[in-house]
Parts: sequence; structure tokens; C-alpha cells
Amino acid sequence: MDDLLVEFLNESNESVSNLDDLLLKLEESPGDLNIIRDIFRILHTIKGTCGFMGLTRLEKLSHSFENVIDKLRSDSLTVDQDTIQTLFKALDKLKIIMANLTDSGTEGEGEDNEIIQELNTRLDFLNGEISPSEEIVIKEDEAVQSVDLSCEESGQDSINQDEIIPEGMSKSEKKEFADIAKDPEAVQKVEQSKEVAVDQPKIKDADAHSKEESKDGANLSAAQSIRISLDVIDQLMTLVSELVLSRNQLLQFSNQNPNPALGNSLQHLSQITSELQEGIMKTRMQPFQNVLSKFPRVIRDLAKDLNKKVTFTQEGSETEIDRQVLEMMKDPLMHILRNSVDHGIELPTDRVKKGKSETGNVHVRTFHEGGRIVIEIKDDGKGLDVSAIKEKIVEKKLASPSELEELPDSKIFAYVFEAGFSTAKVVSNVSGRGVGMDVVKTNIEKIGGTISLDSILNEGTTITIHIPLTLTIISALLVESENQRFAIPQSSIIELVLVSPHSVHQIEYLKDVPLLKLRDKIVPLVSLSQLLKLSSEKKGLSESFYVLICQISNSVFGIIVDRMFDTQEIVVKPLISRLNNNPYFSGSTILGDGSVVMILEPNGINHTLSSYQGNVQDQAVSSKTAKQGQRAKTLLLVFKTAENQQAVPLALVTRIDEINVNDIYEQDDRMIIKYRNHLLPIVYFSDAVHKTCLEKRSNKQKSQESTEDEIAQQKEISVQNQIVDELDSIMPILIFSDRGRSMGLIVNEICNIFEENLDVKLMNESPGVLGTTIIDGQPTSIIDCEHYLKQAYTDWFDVTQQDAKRNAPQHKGSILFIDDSPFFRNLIAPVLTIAGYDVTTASDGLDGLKAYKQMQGKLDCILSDIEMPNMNGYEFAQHIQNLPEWLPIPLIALSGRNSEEDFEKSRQVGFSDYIVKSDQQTLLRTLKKHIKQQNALDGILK
Amino acid sequence: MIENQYLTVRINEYLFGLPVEKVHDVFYTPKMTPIPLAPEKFVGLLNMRGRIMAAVDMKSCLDLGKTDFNEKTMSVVVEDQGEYYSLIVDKVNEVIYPTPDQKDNIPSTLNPKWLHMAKQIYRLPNELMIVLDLVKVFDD
Repeated sequence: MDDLLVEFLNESNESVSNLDDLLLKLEESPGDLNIIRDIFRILHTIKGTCGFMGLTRLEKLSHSFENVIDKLRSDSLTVDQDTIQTLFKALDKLKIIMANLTDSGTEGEGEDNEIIQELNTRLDFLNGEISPSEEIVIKEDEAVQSVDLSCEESGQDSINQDEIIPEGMSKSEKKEFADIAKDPEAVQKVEQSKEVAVDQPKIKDADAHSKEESKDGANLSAAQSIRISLDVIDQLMTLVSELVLSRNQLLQFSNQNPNPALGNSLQHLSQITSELQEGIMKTRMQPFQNVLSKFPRVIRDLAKDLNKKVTFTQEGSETEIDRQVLEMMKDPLMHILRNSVDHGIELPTDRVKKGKSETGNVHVRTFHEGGRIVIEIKDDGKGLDVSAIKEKIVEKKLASPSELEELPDSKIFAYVFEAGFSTAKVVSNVSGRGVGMDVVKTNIEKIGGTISLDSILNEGTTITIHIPLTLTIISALLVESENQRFAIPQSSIIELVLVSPHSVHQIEYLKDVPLLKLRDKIVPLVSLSQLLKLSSEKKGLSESFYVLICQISNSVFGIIVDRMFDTQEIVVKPLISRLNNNPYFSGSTILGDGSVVMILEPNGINHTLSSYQGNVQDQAVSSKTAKQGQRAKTLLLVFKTAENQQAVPLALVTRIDEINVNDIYEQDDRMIIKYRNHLLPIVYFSDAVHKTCLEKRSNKQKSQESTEDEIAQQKEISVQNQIVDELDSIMPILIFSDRGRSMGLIVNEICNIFEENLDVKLMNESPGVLGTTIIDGQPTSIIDCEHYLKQAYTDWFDVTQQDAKRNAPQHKGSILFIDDSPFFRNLIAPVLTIAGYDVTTASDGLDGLKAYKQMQGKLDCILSDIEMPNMNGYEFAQHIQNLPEWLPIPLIALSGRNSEEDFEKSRQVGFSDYIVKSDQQTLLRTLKKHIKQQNALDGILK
Repeated sequence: MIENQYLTVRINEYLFGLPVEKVHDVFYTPKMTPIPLAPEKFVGLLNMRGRIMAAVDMKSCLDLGKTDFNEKTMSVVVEDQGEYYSLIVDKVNEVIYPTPDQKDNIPSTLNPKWLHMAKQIYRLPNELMIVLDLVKVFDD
């Protein structure tokens, strides 16, 4: 393509997008002559240039286009809807031809007669409908040949000169304009001079400009910019980075060999370099307007299609943003806006019914906030219906109803961004195809942004997007693993944790998978060294290391690294395409010392991590379904005593911690410790543990008893000993909490967390033990929490019963609990009792039916396992509902299985809810909810 | 005529020709940053005057073992589709202008990998020179 054509296209593309804008404005204020004149000028320039370039298709089309505009202009007519529509069509055609030009360098094959005909028809219509001053028309017809002469015969009334003078003109301009209007020759002259100019476009351009500008003073904004190819800018970027590096090396040299003269010059050089770097960076920035300018038209067309009335307003469109970011925001924004118009804004009649104005509004606001750019898209449409979303979530099986119960609206709205989620009831060609918001979210996250949604039913929806200012320079943390340095974007790191043998936070293992217990969260970990296979030998974690806690949308995970350095502003350079298939890297950069480091991509790491976890779950599910009747896996916390290995279901443990034995106080045979500003009753797991604690305390006392002389002698040693003492007097503690009361169980050593099938081999051999099972090849006692709870609070049950009495005059309800496993009966029954329910247990479906008949009428709720011998949970549910004496009470399934089919099946056979085993809190909440509902129902019936 | 000029490089005992128009620079290989999980031949990233490029160990590409790096290891910078690669070779020799009649058919019994990467073969007075198809070297 020759340079001239490229230049023409650059210029014209800009003009055409201006035309879009102007036509929209014209539609809003159809009589505004200033706008018409602007349009005319642009078209005229295009037409002229086309003639010069030999682009006949474009020339003809723009000529016809111009004629219509010229007619409007010279007769100061008000534009009607049909004409606007035709003009838009013509503009689209112009764009198509220009696109052909851009792609292939030719105008392409095609016929424009139809649209030219349509334009001519409009012109005829304009000519016929309104009767302009005859002379002007004739003169004009001489200059513009395609105008139908028939208009000559139309009305003879000369128009009032004032009418054709547009508003907003100065007096002198008015006069000039009036003169031109009055003097047909002057009009002709202007026209002719333009016609001449067509043959000499270079002169014409300046000529026409000066003429037009002198004529209507408006829109004087002269172009203060030039076009530079992006390659040039990118190259400049590279050179500047290079310059910065050279400067840094010089500075380093100067620091080692101080020389005042050199120092001063360097200082100066350094400053200029920084400014230059900043300046080059700025060239990459573009106003947000560049992307927004496309939207008014899209929204207008869409609203027309949907028979809606929508206005589009914008604020802060001058906010500058990196070209690359801007480019990547285009599609997501378009999608959101289309959604707003399609789903958000209601039909005019509906809006009126709701007492809103007929016309909806979509507002886009852009602003800087904390080094990021915030884009807010707000519509005043119908908003999102939380309950509809909840239904959809359940229908799409993204979460269970009881899970949703707890979530705040903001979390519910977040589901809109999940894959395969679309709330539109009808699939339209605009949106609602189920692909959409999740893609939007992915795209925004790809550039390190976030998206959130807030909505009020019938008032509207606001979508807020946060994006980084630029992608090229990011703030990154430098880390090291296996002596290799990496950079990681700081934006995704929320916390840094040092893990060492004595640190607060410790690593725990779940079947060889390391987890970090961070306050009340369990954070999955991935070792950078393992992930990137940095070391050929397979080894465990070192003694002390750092964990980068990263957050990508809702998931939090930790990356294990060996060392950490400082944060730096780095220039991101893309990886070469042949190395780009690795999701863990987003690019590379050159550091101040000239070395290259790879930039980690937390998004990619998170993805691998979650798909890995997903696999584990899938495997678990599939193995479960493969081996029917196999017991569900339970997380067990295993701890050791001298004689035996013990375990307790993790779900029952509130916290694992360490205490100093010297902080324990004895009070009337009961042990108490000050723990986080509370007094916590504690129980020793066994006498052996008690003994160990006493030994540790006596050591300390012994050293305190030593004489002063000895202390002086041993001063140095004691300083060291003190630290050892501190460590020596530490004991691990398991904390159980319930109903606002807590107790601590001191044990010898906490080993690990296992996920195991609870296959209890031996039952009830001694108090405090529920049974024995094999964990990790070791016989392990499952401890009976109840036993220890009672030791801490002898009145535990009394209190709870009193409590229950105080809270409700009667007991909370009677529950029939059916489970074939004695272990679970022993585990859950006390929990329910503690919570204030009367519990009757049964060992299988048949047993359950028997119990129901006996208890008949006294039960409030039935809780049943699914997998059971003789009669399973499904059969039980069907049977019991067919009993003549059946009174409808809530039937709740309690199962170790967690698959969708199980959910569905249990619902089909009549269970009102489904709870996954070993989640105590959910169980209690669900029971409470159902029994409350039942009581309310009974109340109504009575 | 630049088209028929080749920069000759030695890898082990073999002589290879690189089309001169593709070659941008020849320099001693600086310190490299290893690229985790990358194919073996991409031995690292290096900074060449502010430009990051991937170093390709030609020995690894040609099944000739691995280069033992020292400060005298030579790199030849070549460009492919706007991206820069630095080819690690043992020695860089002169630029030669073979005549068309020195061109010969590529023997079909060549090692299949070499056969795939070889574009042309020239009979020089003392030995054979294989002209490499760089795209195939990178993509292989």
C-alpha cells in the first residue's frame, strides 16, 4: 500500500468515526446547523481526497451523501428520522469500503447504487417537501448535478433569511451568512471554489478549511497531534529501557569511584533519563474516549432493535489509559453495555408502569483511584433479582440452597460471572447465550483487573471494573527459588508469610499435600521449585521459607519460595511466541543489573492449582461411586501420646494452638489457662500428658530456685537457656468450642491431618474412646469429645439443658437419627443433644420405621443416612411417607456423598434437605431452620 | 547478491551455513537465565542490548549433546518473524559465497532429524556445508 493511501486511511478513519458521533448528535437535535456543517465539511474533504486518489466508489457515495447534507445545510432543514436512518446506512457503507481499502488496498467489488439511490430519494423528498428559495436551488443544481430539477417547480415563497441563519453565530458571521444566502452568486462561488479544489486536494484542504472556519467559528480545535506508528514507540521504549540500564551501571560505577564532576553530570543525565522514560510511557497512553466513542452508536442501534429508549452518558472519558489495556477492554465493555441495554433497561411501557421515565440511561464513569483505573457502568434498569439468581445457581448446581442461605447479596451476584450462567429467560441474539460474563471476567482478570457487580431490584445495576494503568510497567516482587530469581506482580500478592520451625504459622500435611494454616483459613500451597521443576532432586520443604499468599478472584493460595528481595517497577516484555505456551509465565524483564528474570503469572498458577484440586475431588467422587457402600472420607486430626496414636474428627476442632505450660493455673482441681483474653478450661488428654506438663514446669521452678550466686555465674548460659526453656514449656492444644463455650485439650504432639475412611474396628473399649481404626498403618483411637467436654464443664449438659430451657420453654425438638454406623451415632447424637434436641437413634431404615411408629406424633424431624444395610435412606424415605400414620415432618438426608446425583435423588424421594456429613455447623443450622418452619406450619394449622 | 551468502559456523566437527540476511549479530554469550519447563534446546533467556532473546543450543537441536558454556561460547543472533534468537555454536567462521554448481542434493540417507532441518547442502573444497532451515530448527 503506498504511503499516500495509508495516510488517507488514517485521516479518513478518524473522520468517519467523527461522523458517527455527529450523526448521533444530529439525531438528538435535528435542526442544529452547526452539526450539519461539521458533517458537510468532513464529507467534503473525504469526497475531495477520493477524487484525487482515484477512489471512485468512495467518491460517488460521499458525493451523494454530501448532497443530502448540503441540502439540509443550505436550507437549514430539520432532519427527519428516515433521512437519519439513510444517512447511517450510507455511513456504514462508507466504513465497509474503507475497511476493504485497509485490508486489500482496493475499494473491493461491490455495488453502491442502492444506497446512492436511497440518498437521492431522500434528497428528492427534502426538495419536494419543503420549498426553498428558488434561486438558491437552481444555482445549487448547477453546481451539484445529481439534484432533480423538478424542485424548481415547487413553491416559490422565498424563505425568511433569518430562518436559515443558524443559532450561535456572531453578528458579523450572521451578516456574512445572510449575504451568502441572499446572493446566489456567492453560493455558487463557494460551490465552485470547492469543485476546483477537488482537483487540487492539497490546496483545497487548507483552502476549504480556512473558508469553513472563517464561516462558522465553531469547532476550531486544530489538530495538535501527529500520528506515529506503534512500532516506533515500542522501539523507543526499548531504547529508553536500555538507557535506564546504562545509567544505572554508570551510577554504580560513580558510587564506587566518587568524582564530583562526574557525579553532577550523572545526576543531570539521570534526571533527564527518568523524564524521558516517563514521556515515552505517556505516548502509550490514550484517552478512554477512544474506546467509548464506539458505544453510543452500538447502544442506539441495539435500543432501536429492542424497541427501548436508552440514553448513553459518560463521565471522565478523558482519563488516560495504556493503549494495550484499552484494546483489551474493548470487548468486555461492549459486552457489559449490551447486557445493560438488553437485560437491564426495561421496555418504555414497563418503565412507565414502575414510575420511571420512559427513557433508560446507561452511564459510564471512568476515574483514577489508587494507581488503578476504575470504570463504572451503571444502568437504571430493572436490576438483578437475587432470588432468581439463587434459583439459577441451584439449578445450575453451582451451590446448594443451604450454602446460599449464608451468603450476602454481593457474593450471590458474583455467581453471575461464573461460566455458563445467564439470567436471561429468553435467549436473544443480543445476549443470554450463556457465554458472556464469565468471559468478560476472564478477560479483565487477564490484564490484572477485577470486576464486581452490585444491584438493587428495580433500581438498576452497577458494574465496577478495576484495571491497572498500564501493563508494560508493573510493580513486582523479586523472589528466589533454587538460586533462580523470578518476578511476581505485586497486585496479586496479599500477604507474605515466613515459615520457620518457631514461627506462628505452620505447615500441615494432608496426604502429602502441604497446607498452611493461616489464622482461620487453610491455604493450599504450591512450591515454586516443584511447580517449575527447578531442582532435579525431589526433596521436601526446607526448614525455613517464605510463602507468598496470592489472591485471584475468590481463591487464595500460597507459593513457596526460598528467599525474597525487594519490589521493583519492571518493564514487562512478552515472551517469544515459541515459549509462550507456558501458563506460569507472563513475560520476562531486564533488571537494573542487566540480568533477565521471568515474570510469574499467578493466574496461570492458580488455574493449575485448582484444576489439580478438581482432579482430586473428581477422583474421590469416582472412586466413591465405583465402590458402592464404601464409607465417606472424613478429615481426621491425628495426635500422639507416648503409648498410642489418637485421632479426632477435624470438624469438631475449632483451633489448634500452642500454650506455655507455665501459664496454667490450678483452681479447685480444675485447670485454667489465660488464652486470648479469656479463661479457658483445659483438660490433659491423659495422665502421661499431665506428667509431661508437670515436668516442664518443675524444670522451670528448679532454675528459679537456684541461688543468686549461681544465677550470676550462669547468667550467660541462662539467657540461652531461657529461650530453650520457652520452647521447652510449649505444649500443643486442641480447642473445642460450642455455644460460646470453649475448652482446651492438651496433647503431647500433633502429627498430621488425614483424610480417611472411617472404618472403626473396635468399639468402646474405654471411656473417652469411641473406637479404634487404622490410620497411616497405625492403630489409632478415635477419641470421644463428649468425654472431655464433660471433664472441662461438669455441668456442660446441665448448662445446655438449662440454656435450652431458658431459650425455649420446651425442648427444641425431637429428632430421629438413623445411621448404621455406631461411630456416627455416637458422634452426632451427643452433638444434637448438646444443641438441645431429644435424640432417638436407629441403626437402619427398618429400625427407623419401627422407631417412628413408636414415637409417632412426637417427632419433629428425621435425620437419615443414605447408605445403610437392610433398608437404605431412599427406601426409608419412600416407605415412611406411605405409612398411614405419616405426618409430614422434615426429612433430612445426611450423607458422606457429595455428588449431584445424590442431591437430586434424595430430593426426588422426598427429602427436604441434604447435608454432607461431618459439617456440624451446617447440620445444626439446617435442623433449626426446618424445625422452625415446621413449628410455624403447625401453628397455622392449629 | 546477499541471497547466496552464508555465515559458516562450526558445531562439533560439522560445518553449517546460516543465510546472512537472517543474521543480525555475533557475540560472546552473556550470562543466561534458565527457562523453566521449556524444551531442552531453549537453554535460557539473555539480554542483548535491551532486547530479551531466547538462546538455542544448536548441539541439542542437532542431537550432538549439550554445549558446555564458558565466556568464549559464541552466539549468533538471528531473526525469525520479528523475534530474536541467539544460536549457541562452537565457533563462528567466515562468510562464504558458494557458487550454484557447488550445490548438491541432500542425501536421503541423512539422519532423519538432520534431513528435516537441512535446506541445502554445498560441496566446499574441503568439506560439506549444510544450510539450515531455521524455522524448522526452532519448531522441531
